[in-house]
Amino acid sequence: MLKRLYVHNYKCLVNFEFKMDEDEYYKHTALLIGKNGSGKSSVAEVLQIFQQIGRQQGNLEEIQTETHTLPPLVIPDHFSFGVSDQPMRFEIDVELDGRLCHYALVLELPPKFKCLRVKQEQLVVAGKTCFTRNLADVRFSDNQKKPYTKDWHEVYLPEFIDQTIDSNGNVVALFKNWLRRMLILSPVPKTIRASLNSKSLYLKLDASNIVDWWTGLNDRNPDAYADVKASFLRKVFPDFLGLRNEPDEYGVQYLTLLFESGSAKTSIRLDRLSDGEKCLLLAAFVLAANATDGPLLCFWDEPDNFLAISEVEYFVAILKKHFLRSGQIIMTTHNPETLNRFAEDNTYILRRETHLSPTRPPQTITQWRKSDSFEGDFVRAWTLGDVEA
Amino acid sequence: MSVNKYKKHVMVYAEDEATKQLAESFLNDDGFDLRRVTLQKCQGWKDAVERAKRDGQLDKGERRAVVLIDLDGASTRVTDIKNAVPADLQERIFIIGWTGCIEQLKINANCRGIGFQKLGEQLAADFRGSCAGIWTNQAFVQMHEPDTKTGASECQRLRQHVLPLITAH
Repeated sequence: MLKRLYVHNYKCLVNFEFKMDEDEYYKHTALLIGKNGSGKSSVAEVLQIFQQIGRQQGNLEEIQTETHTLPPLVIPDHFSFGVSDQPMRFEIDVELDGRLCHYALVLELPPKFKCLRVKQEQLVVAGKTCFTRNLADVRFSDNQKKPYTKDWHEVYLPEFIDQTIDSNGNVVALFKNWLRRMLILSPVPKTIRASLNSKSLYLKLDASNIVDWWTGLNDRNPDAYADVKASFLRKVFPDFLGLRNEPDEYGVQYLTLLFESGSAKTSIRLDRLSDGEKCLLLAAFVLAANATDGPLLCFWDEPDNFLAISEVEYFVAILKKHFLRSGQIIMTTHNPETLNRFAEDNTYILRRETHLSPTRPPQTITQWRKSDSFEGDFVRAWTLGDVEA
Repeated sequence: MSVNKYKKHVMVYAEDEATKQLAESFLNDDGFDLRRVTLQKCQGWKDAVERAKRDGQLDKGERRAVVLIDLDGASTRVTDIKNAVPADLQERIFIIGWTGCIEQLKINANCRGIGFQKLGEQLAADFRGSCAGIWTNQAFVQMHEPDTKTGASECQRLRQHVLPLITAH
């Protein structure tokens, strides 16, 4: 479970702290609202940085391989307002099986450097320091005489292996696994491919590789397909019959949805569904992933995009209801229907005055009401822009 | 495909944030299907009743309206509401109200200090049961039998007319 995120000097996030509510009903879900440019997507980007580290990608220099280019995790342009003489700081606190994992990464850009380097790095699990790092020197204990040396343009966590196994298993491995499996989504339905290229454990931000990911997920958890068949898809597509991975005449597999109405059947390739239908299918896959491969953290940027207005409330309610059982979902929205399905205690307002000012500390609607002495209709105030002032 | 006036469905009108949270946790019960339910947060009890009336007059007889209100100690309010609802809608409108504020009901249900969600869960569990438990609390009032001091008979009406629409299959 994500407990806390802290970011300093990254884009519009300066001394920014986001804490999930401790309440048993609110720790599973949160909604971020705010005007365009208020920092909602930057929060998603920070989670992506941790996700990349979990996926063994901690390079701060561009890496060229024979087949592809691996971009750096963070670039100098990401410093807040060009302030590169102060370090950039990322911290994440995650609770797994009752153990708190605290990971911190501090990056800096010394004069004449073209790319960032690691200034400090630390992992603490259940109060025990696993490693601390200053520049290239990594230490595993206070009395270690000679530090391990790590390239300062590479994050150390991907390499770190802790052999400690307790009753809950290897917590460091669990933590890294939790990071890598985060689902961070800002789907672009037009880019979603129907063909299977190569199975993947990871779903891309734009969901373009949904078939690769879904096939990989099914390989690992065959129950996932049954979960989708029994999911809310049957509610939104009453004629939904099932899924097929059908090869064409060249042997390329395409994900196809089967529909049945009376005695008539039809099949539609994934890329020929409407944008909204693709998002509904994606949601069914996300729920199946959380049920069979979770608990997961899902950050979904504007999940109500592309949906018919009459579907939004049900869609959001189903996502929330599912993640209440296990896992966590954080959504962003500009849609009053979505806002309506969240409590004021776990809806966070992100605000920023100008492009030269940082995002203010997030406030729940409840906190905002108190600070603004406001008792009226929040949605109305939000629609009128009064909340931003 | 979604909720509309041609298909049987339930609209829940919560008069404020507290009753909305209560309804949310009620509906999150695993025994309920959200497909035919929509939840609206209103600006006070008058707004909730007005919306229920307005939407009820537009529909084709397939809509059931559940209105959640605090009576804030106003003992005549339930009669005022009954008088405000046209006779032809009264069978399809269900009022769940409390004589005091919702906080009092929480206290009576041993849910004090733990949010409204716990109360909503308890209401759902007892609703799926036989309207015993919390529904028999004397903090309830009901529109159809204003003199009855528990929520049990309104609960039974809900079980008869609303439960079939929201039961998960």
